[in-house]
Amino acid sequence: MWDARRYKGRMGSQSVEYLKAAVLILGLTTLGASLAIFFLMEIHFRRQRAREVRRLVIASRLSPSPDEPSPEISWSLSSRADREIILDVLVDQSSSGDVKRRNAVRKTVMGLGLHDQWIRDLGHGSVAAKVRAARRLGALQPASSESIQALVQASLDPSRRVRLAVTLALGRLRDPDGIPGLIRVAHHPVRAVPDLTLAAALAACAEGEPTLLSGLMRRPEPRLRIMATWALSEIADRTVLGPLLDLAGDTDPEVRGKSARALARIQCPETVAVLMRLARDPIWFVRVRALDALGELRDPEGEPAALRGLEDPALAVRLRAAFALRRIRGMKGEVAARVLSITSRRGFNSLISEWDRAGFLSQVVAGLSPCDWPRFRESVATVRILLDAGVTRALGHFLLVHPHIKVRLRLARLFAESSSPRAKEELASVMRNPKCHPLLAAEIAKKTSAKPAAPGCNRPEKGVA
Amino acid sequence: MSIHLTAPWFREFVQVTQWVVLGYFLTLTGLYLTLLLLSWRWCREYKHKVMAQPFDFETLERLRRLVPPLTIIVPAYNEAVVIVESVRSLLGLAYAQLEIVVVNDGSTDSTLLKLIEAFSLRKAEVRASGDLPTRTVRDFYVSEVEPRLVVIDKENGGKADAQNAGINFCQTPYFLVTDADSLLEPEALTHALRAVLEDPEHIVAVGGIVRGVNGSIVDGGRVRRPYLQMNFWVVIQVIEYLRSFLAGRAGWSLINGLLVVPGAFGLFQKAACVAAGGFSTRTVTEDLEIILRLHAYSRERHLGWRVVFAPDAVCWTQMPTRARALCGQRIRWHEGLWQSLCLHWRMCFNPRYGVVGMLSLPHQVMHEIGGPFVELGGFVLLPLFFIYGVIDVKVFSLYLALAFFVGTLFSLAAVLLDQTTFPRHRFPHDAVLLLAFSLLEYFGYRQLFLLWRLAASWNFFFGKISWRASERTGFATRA
Repeated sequence: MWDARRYKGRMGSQSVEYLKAAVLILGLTTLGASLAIFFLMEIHFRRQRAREVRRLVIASRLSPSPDEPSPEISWSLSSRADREIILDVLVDQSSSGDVKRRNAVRKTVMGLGLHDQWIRDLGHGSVAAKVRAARRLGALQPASSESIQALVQASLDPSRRVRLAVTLALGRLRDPDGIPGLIRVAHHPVRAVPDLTLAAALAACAEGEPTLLSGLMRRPEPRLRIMATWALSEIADRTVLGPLLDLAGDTDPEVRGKSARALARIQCPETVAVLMRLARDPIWFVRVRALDALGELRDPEGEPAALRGLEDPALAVRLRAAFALRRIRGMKGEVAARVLSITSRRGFNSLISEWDRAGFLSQVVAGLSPCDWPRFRESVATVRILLDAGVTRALGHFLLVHPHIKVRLRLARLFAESSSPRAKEELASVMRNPKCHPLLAAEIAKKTSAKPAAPGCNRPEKGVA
Repeated sequence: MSIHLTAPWFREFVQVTQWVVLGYFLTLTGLYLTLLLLSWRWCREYKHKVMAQPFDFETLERLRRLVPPLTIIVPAYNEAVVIVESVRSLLGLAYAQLEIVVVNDGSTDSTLLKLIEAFSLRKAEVRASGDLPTRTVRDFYVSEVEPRLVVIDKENGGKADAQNAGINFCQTPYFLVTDADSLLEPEALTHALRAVLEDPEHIVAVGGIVRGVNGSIVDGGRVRRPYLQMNFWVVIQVIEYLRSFLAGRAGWSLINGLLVVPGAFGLFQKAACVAAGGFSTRTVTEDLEIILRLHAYSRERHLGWRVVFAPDAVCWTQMPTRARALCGQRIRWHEGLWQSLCLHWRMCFNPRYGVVGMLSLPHQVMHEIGGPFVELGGFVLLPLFFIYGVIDVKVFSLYLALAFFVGTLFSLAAVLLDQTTFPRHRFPHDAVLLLAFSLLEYFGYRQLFLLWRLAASWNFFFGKISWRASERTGFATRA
C-alpha cells in the first residue's frame, strides 16, 4: 500500500542531497559568474579605453609634420603592443592620406620588412594573422606584384573570413591582376562574400581594363554573369558594349535586367533598340529595368515603349513607364492628353500617380498665375483636360491651400466650367469646407448658383494673398 | 469530501504531476540553454561579419546607390503626440534611396493635422495601387518640402490593414514596418539591409532589436544618451527584451526557426510578403502571423526562405511605464499568440515545416501557451499537497532556488551578450541595475505575468479580444 509519508520520506533522502548540491553549485556559479564577468568586463573596458588613448597619441605623433619623429624611429623605440597600434595607424594613413604620405608609409613598411612578413603570414599564419595581413596589404598602396600574387593565392583559403578579407583587399588595391583571385572567390562552393561586395571589387579591379571581365560574362554560371554585368554597369565603358548587348539576350532574367541598367549608363544610341526589346520581356522586373534605362537615356525613340508600358498588367512597370515618359517628353499637358486618348484608363491613372508625385499638378496650377502668357494658356488647357478626365482630388485641394487667391479663383472657374460631375462635386465640397476662403466661396456660389456655407465658417486664412 | 492519501488515483495523480512539472522544467531549461548557446554563436558570427566590414570600402561607396531602395511604412492611430518627431527621425536616417509612407489609420485625434502642418502636405492624385484588400483609402498626401514623405489617410481598420495599405503603395523591393512611437538609429537600415544582402535570394525578413527609449535623452529625433529609467516596469521590460532578443531570437535565427520579427522594426521583401497575402487582420499580433505564413509558404513550395535577426539594427521604442498599460500590451501579445497558433495549427509537430514545425511552434505551444496552465496548476496544487503532507518543504525550497538561479543565469547571460556585442546600456551602472531587477522579477512580477496570460487565454476562449491602445507621452528631449 502506498503511503504519502513514506513517499515524502523517500524524496527527502538521496534526492534532496542531490538537489541541495545542484542548487549550491548553481548558486555559487551564478554568483561567481556575475562577479567574474563584471570584474573582467571592467578590466576589458579600461584596457580598451587605454588603447584608444594610446592610439590617439601615436596617431598624433605619426601625423605628417616635419617636426615629428619618423615612423622608423617610433617603431624602434616602441613596445610590442605599441607596434601593433603603429601598424594600424600606418595602415589607416596609407589608405586615407595624400600620395606623399602614402609613399612614405610604404617606404617605411618595406624598410622594416613588414611587407614580406605580411606576405608570409598570408601563406602560413593563423586565420587571424591571415585576415590581418590581407587587410594591411590591401591598404598598402601602390600594391606590389608580390602582394597581389599572395592575395590571389590566398583567395583559395578554406577560411571564409580570409576569403572575405582577400576580396576586400583586392578591391582596395584596384589592380587588374587581382581579377583571377576574385573569380576564384566567386567560384568557391561556400559563399563567403556577398555578391554586392564581390561585384564592387570586380568593378574596382577592372576599371582600367573592363575587357578583362568579358571572359566572366561568357561563363555558364548565371551568378558570375550577374556579377560581371553588375560590375560593368558601374564601369560603364563603351569597350564592353558588344558583350553587354549579347548579355541583353541572356537566358537568365537577372542578367538581362542588370544589362539593361549597364546599357543605360553607357549612353549610346545603339542601346535604345535593345532596351526597347527588353521592354517587351516576359519577366516584369526586366521590363521595369528596361523602362528605367530608357528614361535615363531620354531618347525620343523610347517613347513607343513607354506608352506600351503604361498598358502593362504589372503596376511597377506602368509606374516606370510613366517615369520614362516624363524623362523623354517632359511633364506636359499635351502628353497627358495623348496618353488619355491612346491608352486605357489604367495607363492614364498610373501616369497621373507618378507625375503628380513629381510635382506635375503643382506645376500646372502654378502656371495659372498669368506672368507668362503662353504658359498660362497651356496650364488652362491642361487643367481642363485633367478635370474632364476626373482628376479632381488634388486639384480640388489646391483650391484650399494654394497661397495665391487669384490662382484659386481661376482654378474654381475652371472647375465650374468643367463638364465632369466629379468636378462639380469637388467644388461643392470645397465650398462646404470651413477653410474655404470667403471670396472663393462667393465665386463658387456665383458660378454654380449654390448657397455658400454659414457666415463665420469661411474665415480668411493667415498669409493668404 | 476527504481525500484518502492511500487512494491509488491520488498516488497516480501526484506522480503524474511530479513528472509533468519536472518535464516542463527540464524541457524549458534545456531549450533555453540550447538557445543561449546558439544565440552566443550567432552574435559572435554576426559581430565578426560586421567587423570584417564587407560593405565598407571606397568602391562600394560608389555602388551604394545599387543598394536596393526602401520604403518605411509607419501605421499611425492617434499618435499626435509623437508622430512629427518620429517622422523627422525617419527622414534623418542614413540611407540613400528612402521613401516614408505614414498611414493614418482613421485617427480621431490631430495626427493628420499635425503632419499636414509640419510637412506642408497637399493632397495627391494617386490612383494606382496594389492588390492587397484594405479599408477605403480616403486621400493621399505628398509633402511640398520633403519629397520622400507620403501620407495615406484611410478608414480605421487596424494596424495590419494600415500596413497592407502601405504595402499597396510601396514601389520598392523591400519595405520596413515600424511604429510611430519608435525611433530608429541612423545606421539601423543599413545594418538590416546588410543582413539581407548576405543572401538576397533567400532572406525575406529581418528583425532588428527593440530597446527602451524611456529615460534616454532624445534630440532631433535621435537617441543621444541612452539612460535606463528608474521605473520598475521599464527596467523589468528591458531585461525581458534583452533575454528575448539576445538570448532567444538570435539562436532561433541561426537555425531558421525565428517566429517573430518585431512590429517596431521588421524589414520584409515586398514580393514575398505580397505572395504570402500581406498582413493578416485576423490577429492582433500581425508581426508573428506574417512570419508563420512566410515560413509556411516557403516550406510548402521549397523556396528556402529565411528570417533572420540583426542585433545591431536598433530601434528605440517607448515602453509602458504603468502596470495597466503593460498588462494591456502583454494580454494582447498572448491573445495574438493564441490566434496565430490556431490559424497555423497544422504546422505544429509537422516535419514538413522543418525547425519551425518541429521546434519553434511546439515550444510556443508547450511553454508559452501551456506554461501558464502548468504554473496555475502549481499554485492550486501546492497548498493541497502541503496540507496533505505530500511535499517536503525542503525539497520544494531547493527546487524554487534552482529555478531562481537558472533564471538569473539566463538574465546574466543576456546582459553579458548585450555588453559584449553591440552595447547600448552604460556599464557598469545600467548592467548592475538590470541584474538587480532580474532578481526582483521573481517576487510579484512573474505571478502578475501569469495572471495576464491567463486573462488573455480567457479572452481568447470567450471572444473578448480587442486592440488595446497604449498612452503616448512623447520623447524626452535635451534639457
